[in-house]
Amino acid sequence: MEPSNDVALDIIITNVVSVFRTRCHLNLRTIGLEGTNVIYKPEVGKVLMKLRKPRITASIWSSGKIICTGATSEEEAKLGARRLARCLQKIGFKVRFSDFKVVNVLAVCSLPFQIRLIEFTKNNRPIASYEPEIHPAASYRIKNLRSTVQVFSTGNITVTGPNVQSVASAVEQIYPLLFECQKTLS
Amino acid sequence: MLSNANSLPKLYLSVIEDVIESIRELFSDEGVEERVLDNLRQLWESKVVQSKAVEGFIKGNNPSNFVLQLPANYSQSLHKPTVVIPAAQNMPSFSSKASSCGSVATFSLPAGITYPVQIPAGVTLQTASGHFYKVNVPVMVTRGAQHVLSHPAAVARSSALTQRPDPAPAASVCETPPTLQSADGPSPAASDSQTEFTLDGIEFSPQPVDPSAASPFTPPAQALRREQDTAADDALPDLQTTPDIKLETDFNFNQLLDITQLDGVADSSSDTEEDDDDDDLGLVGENEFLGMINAAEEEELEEEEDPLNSGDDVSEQDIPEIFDTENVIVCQYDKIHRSKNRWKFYLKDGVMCYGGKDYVFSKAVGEAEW
Repeated sequence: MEPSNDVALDIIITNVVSVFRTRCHLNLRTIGLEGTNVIYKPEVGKVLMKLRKPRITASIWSSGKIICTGATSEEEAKLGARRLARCLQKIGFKVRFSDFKVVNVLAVCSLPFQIRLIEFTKNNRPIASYEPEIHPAASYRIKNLRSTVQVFSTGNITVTGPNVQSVASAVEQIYPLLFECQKTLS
Repeated sequence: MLSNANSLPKLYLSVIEDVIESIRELFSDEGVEERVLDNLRQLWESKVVQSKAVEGFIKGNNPSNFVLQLPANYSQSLHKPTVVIPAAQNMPSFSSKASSCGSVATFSLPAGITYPVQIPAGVTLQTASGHFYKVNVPVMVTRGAQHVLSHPAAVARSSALTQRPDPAPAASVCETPPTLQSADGPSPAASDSQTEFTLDGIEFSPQPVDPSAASPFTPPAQALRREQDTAADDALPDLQTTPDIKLETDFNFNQLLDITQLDGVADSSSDTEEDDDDDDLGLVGENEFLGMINAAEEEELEEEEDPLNSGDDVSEQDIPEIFDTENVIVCQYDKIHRSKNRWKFYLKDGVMCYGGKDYVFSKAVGEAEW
């Protein structure tokens, strides 16, 4: 039986990471001095720029590569990235918004049951791996989806994948496996 | 902030002093006249006064200038008062002042004098602002608060007293002469600020001491600002206040008797409103970039895939940037720390211009949420 379709699981996307290029060299010092809400980190060679709306933080490199983190959806990520590029444009750089790509999506999900991790790992070798001395969660890698699920015994799981769709699929895929290994008191 | 306001004029003056002196030689080497240097100094001082960033800033301050005016009969025994001044001090420079009263000698205590200074009875004191006080009992002049001579009623009455209507908040006793509407030719009250001595427990007789009938007295009220000190008021219950004097009863006392240190550890340059202003040193828009910015705003930046429309879709002006405050802090930092959106600032050695006023600190701690 596949009970997964009957349950409405709340998958909450907590972080979407994206990158894009401005296709032009960026003077970090200028951005650090003139930009608003910026943190210049010369020791690392990047500038952090934070946006309030959407709430994102971007790491800006002088090569023009920008990594954007903190968004809660893919659309928001794109919007934030564009706003950011617009900021840089206002400072005076000839930015182009190119090669936008969402690279990582992190979501959490709370399952309504607890899980017997050892059993789960045994059942799903070698896809699942569990090393309690290193990390309290069992990790389950879905190769074709390029996603990873971390399973905690409490029933909480975190899913990371290249996009929202793969994350959703991963949850669907793993749910029955977890359901089997739940810690019911019977 | 009171204590800050007290020392700030002095600090700024000393800065001006230092700079002017140190460039004097350079100026002369370059062949620039002294006059230019003086001009510069005056310009500078006037700008400071204009900016109103500092309270009680008087040009040409002579620190600790304290003019003692002695009645004629004391001229012989002038040494008497000098004796009581601690021997360690230089003899006060004494200059005979040919005033209208004729037989009055004045001298001023040098800057380096350390208080307390004891003044015997019968001495007439004249502060630089022109207020006269006759001391009836031996007086101990201590380096007190802004209250130059503590008791308003101690002043001899004058015929044409002008009161300063509102108690200037300036901690400095020497209320800036411009604000003094003293009928007597206002000699700069500059010295008062630095004298800062209290004459407690003195019984001043209200008799007019001014030998010259013409010159009016201004009550020390004007020189004294004692807003919160009631104790001293109580000390002289029997001071006679002449009817035509409208005494200032609120004096800016400046509580220097129990100075609380408001900077350093106790500094609360809280940045709740400042938000990101700390980072904004006002270095915006240097000329080179203004042109670029303007140009960029007008163009649309087209690219192959997605054009970044100028302002339409991707404008970031949602956030009302309430930024154009002039509140700035210029300082050094010990540590600036951030956790998520909580910021902590450990700053040192700086000047804050807040609400148009300058505050100088050696240590400042702040917290903010972004």
